[in-house]
Amino acid sequence: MRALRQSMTSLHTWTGLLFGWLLYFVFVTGTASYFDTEIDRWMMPELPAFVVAEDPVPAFALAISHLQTHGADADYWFTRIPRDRNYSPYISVQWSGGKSSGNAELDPRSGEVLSGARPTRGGQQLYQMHYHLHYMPENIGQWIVGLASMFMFVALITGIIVHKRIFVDFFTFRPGKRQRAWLDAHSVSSVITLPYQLMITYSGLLFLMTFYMPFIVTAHYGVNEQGRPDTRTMFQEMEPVQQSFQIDSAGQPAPLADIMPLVRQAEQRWGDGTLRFIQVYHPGDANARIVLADNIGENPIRNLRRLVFDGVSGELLQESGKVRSGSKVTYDVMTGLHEALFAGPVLRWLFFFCGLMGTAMVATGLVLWTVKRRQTLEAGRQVSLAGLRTVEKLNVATIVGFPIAVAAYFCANRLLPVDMPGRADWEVHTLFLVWAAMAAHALLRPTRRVWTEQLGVAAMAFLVVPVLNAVTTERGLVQSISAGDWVFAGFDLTMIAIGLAAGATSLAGRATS
Amino acid sequence: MLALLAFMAGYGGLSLLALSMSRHRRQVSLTAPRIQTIQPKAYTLTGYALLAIALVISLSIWGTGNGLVMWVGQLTLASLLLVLHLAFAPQRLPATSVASLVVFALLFLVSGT
Repeated sequence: MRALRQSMTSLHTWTGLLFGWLLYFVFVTGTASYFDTEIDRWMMPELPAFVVAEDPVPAFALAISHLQTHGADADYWFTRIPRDRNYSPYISVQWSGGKSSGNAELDPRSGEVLSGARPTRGGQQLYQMHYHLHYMPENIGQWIVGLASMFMFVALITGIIVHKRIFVDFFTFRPGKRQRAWLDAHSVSSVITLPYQLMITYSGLLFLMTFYMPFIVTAHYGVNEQGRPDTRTMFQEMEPVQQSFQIDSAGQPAPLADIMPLVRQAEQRWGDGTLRFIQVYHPGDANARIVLADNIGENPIRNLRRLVFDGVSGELLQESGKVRSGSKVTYDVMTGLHEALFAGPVLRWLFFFCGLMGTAMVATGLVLWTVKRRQTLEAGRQVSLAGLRTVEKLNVATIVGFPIAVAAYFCANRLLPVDMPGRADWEVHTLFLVWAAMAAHALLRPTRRVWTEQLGVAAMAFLVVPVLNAVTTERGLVQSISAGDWVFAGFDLTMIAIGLAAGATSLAGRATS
Repeated sequence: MLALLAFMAGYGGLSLLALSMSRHRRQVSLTAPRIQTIQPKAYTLTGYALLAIALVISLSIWGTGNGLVMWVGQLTLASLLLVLHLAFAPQRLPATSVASLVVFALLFLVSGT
């Protein structure tokens, strides 16, 4: 039994150490991604505040008329209306194929095309980096994050095995002695959020399961013309309703059925407020199909209900619910829990809190490693000093340095000139340049001072974000609160809260050292 | 309002489960020696009962999928609050524990479910 515990401890320590900094990056970007669309909104202050489309009929009417005007020659139409914080808060229209393609965002109140937003990657950039990193092909990034996630799972399981007194120590946090405090912090942050940590790691891997385990697809469905696993056939089998609308055009013109009665049908069938988007395949053709789909954020099952109508007669051809098979709904629930599209405001903040705890779990683990070895050193025993110093510097450069870089990303959004070429890319470059600067600072400064200094920088970086917002736009904190714009106000207030927390920690560190 | 009801039940239940452990009873009983007179099993049973009540309330407010997630999320937050409470102000735990149960009872009566 003791040998098992020893080997599990080694495995836990080594996987945690080697992948810890990367996992910290994944956790910070992932936690921020719970508010990805809110961050998008904040980073495009030129666009109007979010307005929920209570009655879908006028919103869809605006969208369809826009499509009829601009996409008359297209082969595929798509439109989505805003119902909640997921996706765009404006009416989205896209048309492609045939002789024209394009897209636009429309103001839900007037149908006017929205424009003038500064070029930015917004919160989506943080979300994308979360699973495929940056400055490398997406495949490579996905593999690296996947590897880190697999070892994260190993770290979780070995941590559970190693933590002998997992139930007795559930509520125990002893802030007195240094090493014990860090160990307790690491255990507590992991154990109280253990359901979340296990879920988030496993479901994250599930999202890209056909990427990480392609041979299972090949074994059942073979390969396609490019020699890649035939996931297309697999998805068609998982969603048989697709066969009723993914058909070729007939080549014969026929007038498109009136869509608005279909919208009312969907509202009646599914209840008010659930219809989310409409797709039209081959508008104006005899084989046209109109597909109405519901809001993916109804509950944790990450799947859509669909109504498929004949595009000429308006007759209902097929209806599909959220649940297919046992294995598909398991996948849909797991991925749904990971992405948390279904989470309303309270639940979303709870998820955010759990993400912060996960971030703390990784950070306290990394610090614990150095604290243990420092104490071993002070006790007079042998320790690799080069290794210890490297880890200490990498720790502060990542744990404090990376959040500073994220704050710099938001600052760059307000500071870079709106008409600067490559502006969106340069916001991201700013993030990584500042991170590199923090790493250099960590390298050059004495280890004892680095934490308090970088925490001080973090405090300033986060507190300056709402200041820049107030100075460079008309949507500062005071204006947001008086306008009831809780997306903007919430963002600014969160920046202030993080800045104050960093500042308080920095001052506390200064006092004790 | 109803969310608070579920949270109070969860927090109350978890604090009773904490008190079912001797180390936490010792921390807390310095100013409230009566804590030690109650059987540990009583704490355990009522603690789990309150967690179950919190689950039932969550499920009835938000449905199955959302309700389960809310329950776990609220218990997670409540656990952290208890950890910090026990670490920095253990003597006040009986007071806050009773307060949470009183608030729970009041909200239960007011909500009429």
